[in-house]
Amino acid sequence: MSEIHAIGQPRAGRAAGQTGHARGGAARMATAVAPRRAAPGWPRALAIALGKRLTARRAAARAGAGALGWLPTLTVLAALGLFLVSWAYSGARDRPGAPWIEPAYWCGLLLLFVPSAARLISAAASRGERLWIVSILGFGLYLVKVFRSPQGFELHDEFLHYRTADDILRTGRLFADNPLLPVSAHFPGLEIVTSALARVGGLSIFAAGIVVLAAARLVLVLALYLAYERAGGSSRLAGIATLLYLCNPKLLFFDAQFSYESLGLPLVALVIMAMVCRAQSRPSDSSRFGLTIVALLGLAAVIVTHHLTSYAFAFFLSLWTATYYALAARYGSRATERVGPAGIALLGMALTFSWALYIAPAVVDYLASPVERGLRELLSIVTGHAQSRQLFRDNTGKVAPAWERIAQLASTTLILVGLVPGLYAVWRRYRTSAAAMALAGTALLFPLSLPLRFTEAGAEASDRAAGFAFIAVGFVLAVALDSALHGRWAGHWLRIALTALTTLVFVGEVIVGGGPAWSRLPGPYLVSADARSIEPQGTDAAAWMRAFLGPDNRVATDRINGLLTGALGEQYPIAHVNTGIDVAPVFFAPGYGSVQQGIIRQGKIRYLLVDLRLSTALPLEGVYIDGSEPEALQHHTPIAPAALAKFTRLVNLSQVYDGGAILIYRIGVSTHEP
Amino acid sequence: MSRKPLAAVLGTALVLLVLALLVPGGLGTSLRLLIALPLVLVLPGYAVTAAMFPRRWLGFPETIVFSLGLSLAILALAGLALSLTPWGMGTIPWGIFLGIMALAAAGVARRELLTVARMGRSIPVPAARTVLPFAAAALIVLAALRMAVVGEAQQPQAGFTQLWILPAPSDAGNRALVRLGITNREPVTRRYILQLVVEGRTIRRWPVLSVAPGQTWQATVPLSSGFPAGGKVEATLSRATSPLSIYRRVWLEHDT
Repeated sequence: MSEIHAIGQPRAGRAAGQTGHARGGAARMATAVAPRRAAPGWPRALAIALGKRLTARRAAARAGAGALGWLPTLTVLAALGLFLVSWAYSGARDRPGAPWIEPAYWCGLLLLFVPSAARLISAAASRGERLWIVSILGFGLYLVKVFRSPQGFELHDEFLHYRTADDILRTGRLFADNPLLPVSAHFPGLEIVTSALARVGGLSIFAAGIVVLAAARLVLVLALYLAYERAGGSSRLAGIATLLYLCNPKLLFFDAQFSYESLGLPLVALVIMAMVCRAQSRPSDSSRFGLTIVALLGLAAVIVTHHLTSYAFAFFLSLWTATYYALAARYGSRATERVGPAGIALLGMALTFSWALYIAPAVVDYLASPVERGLRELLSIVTGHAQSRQLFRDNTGKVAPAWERIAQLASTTLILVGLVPGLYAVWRRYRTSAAAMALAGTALLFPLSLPLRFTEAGAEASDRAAGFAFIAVGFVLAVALDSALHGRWAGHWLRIALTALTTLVFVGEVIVGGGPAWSRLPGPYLVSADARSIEPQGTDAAAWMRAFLGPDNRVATDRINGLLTGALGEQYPIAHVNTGIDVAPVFFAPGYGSVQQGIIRQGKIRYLLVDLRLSTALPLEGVYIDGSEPEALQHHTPIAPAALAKFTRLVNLSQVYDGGAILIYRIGVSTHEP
Repeated sequence: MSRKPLAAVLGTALVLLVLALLVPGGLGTSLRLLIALPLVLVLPGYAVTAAMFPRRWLGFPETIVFSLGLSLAILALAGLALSLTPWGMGTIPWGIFLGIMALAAAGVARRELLTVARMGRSIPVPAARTVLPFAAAALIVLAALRMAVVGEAQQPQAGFTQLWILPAPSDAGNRALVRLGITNREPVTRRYILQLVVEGRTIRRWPVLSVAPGQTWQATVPLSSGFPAGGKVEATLSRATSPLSIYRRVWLEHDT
């Protein structure tokens, strides 16, 4: 068993893995203690596989690095896993639908995850080995996303933030109007850092973004590990907690994409780590001031980086503060923490809400409206006035394969069931620690957010909550697992069983977060399918608009081409999100009458971009244009080809671009006159 | 690393940064990137970390987290401040800011935060004999990256051709002009026939235009009779292999 303890301080209780407390406080950060049992090392593992008999001593001697344990073997296995994933991606592009692609993809992910999980759950690994393992696993999972689109952004939200970064690079100023996601411009932390690296390093936005997010991923896993280790007092618990956090459904793609949450969460992890260390420091510790500065800088950066993360963190800080005072009143000097988070929490909340009120007032409606609609819909479902959203179906009504449904259900059930003993174990082991108890309280966000998954409007909000909630869920479940590993059933078979269950959670959550099979893998063009709709005809049309029409022309188009023209084309696609104008009737109506003319006039639209491919299939993301269109999320037939072809017959409209599938029309000046 | 060598390294980095930023082509892209990465992602956070924490307080993992994490945080906040200055967030303001941070890092690095010995105390460092599997893993990952890049670049895509028409500013003789363009995004060289028609009358015909893959053909054409009031100028494109079938069509109306 590996453990940590405070240098120069009396150790509290029994071994860290048993009591989990770091009650003695710490004058210094965690320092490793060598594991009791030497790890076998990669030569032995290899030798066993080859059928040779090497003694543990000879193997360890050959390895020459007992502290590294299985790390060399795990690193090679992780690399092979990534190779399999990349092979599956190539196959999905070359031979879409080939039967070996999905198995290769899953084998790659499992090769990446399972050996690391087994080692983190085992008692033999040293602290250093665990740190390397979580770093390699966290970074490896990041590369799964990078390998999917190694030459450019392709996920939906990446284009929204590309526009903000592009505006910053073009103008050198902040808060330019972002037509794709106005609120993005008011939380520009990620784009500022990316543009700085792009400027100084001479990189493109894509290359700079990839590098910045790689650094952010490293901060995320290491900071979480160190925070868990401090809060739980055990490196094994910290490794398992970080492993469970890496299972969260948003980690593989959503929180690895070029989007503000991908930087917001690592910064939150940094602040939590600093604050946990600060809370356990003595008043005389010279590090306390430094930790306060780290926490404040990190907190300020979170506020300018991501709204949802900063609000969720403000909630967590409030809970932590309240818990701290409650525990101080109950346990007095026996409480684990010597200093409360009240000052930082108050300042953080004041800055968070000031930023929302004075810099980004639009964020209130942006965030409140889907949650409010979700709660109303949930109430209607409960009272029998509405039907719940059908789970395990995509927007065209296609049902997920049975094994995927079982994996998703099993994963969610395991997490919910695991939270019960986890919360009990946290209470038993850490009830004097306000940080641990606040994490336990925050973990309840996960079950509380689940009912929203049954609503159309709130499903995304529930999904988004996972990125933050899993910081707490990972800790609580890890305490449950750690307690079991020290309980009466501890042994080889229990470790195998827990590795299997953790793997099941990982697989289920990858499916929850990755969506249907078509969205997990690359492949040929699909209609309104976000990443699967990004291809050269669309990107070239957007590039043509930028090159030949100049920036910021007002354009009406569909969801995908809106992203491309707004980001790569530097145009101003008119949509409900930026002007309150719904352009869907322009495209859906069989004719072109006063309603359509009114929309063109009201939106001062100068160009129409029509993608004729829309009429060839149902929209896989549920909408062709946006949520205001007829039968949004419930299309049964594709948009009529005649509705898209009507523009060729209109007067006062020039067809200035013909790319085959994509046509661009220029609208006459007189159309805009009343 | 002692204070003096650290200061020397940072000073050198600063000089190279200035060269990279101020001298056009002063440094190659790779070298510029190698210098930019630590300047942007490590040194700002390292400077604050070194200034704030007492000697020997941090282990290697903590130093890494604080250096990287604080660099990200400081840059996000510095960008806010720079955007308020008259110079904005241009290359030079960023270079000056990062240079100051690098100097600060050199000035306040009074502790031995990154010595090999300290790294060894808190985190295992691979011994020479264990390098082989790590090197193998790195090679496998590079091969996987290469496969991903090639796979994306060679993904089968439907070829297409772009045809466009736009009004151009009138020439010296005050004649109306239109710009025409063709871009071939198909995998092979294509031969096209292009016609420009005004009010049903062909005013210009290009019998064979050969355009290589990825290439663009452009022309600016005067309309000798002026732009037809209330009428339109139309361009049609056919493939040389099927000249009677219109492949692409664009037009301009007078009012637009």
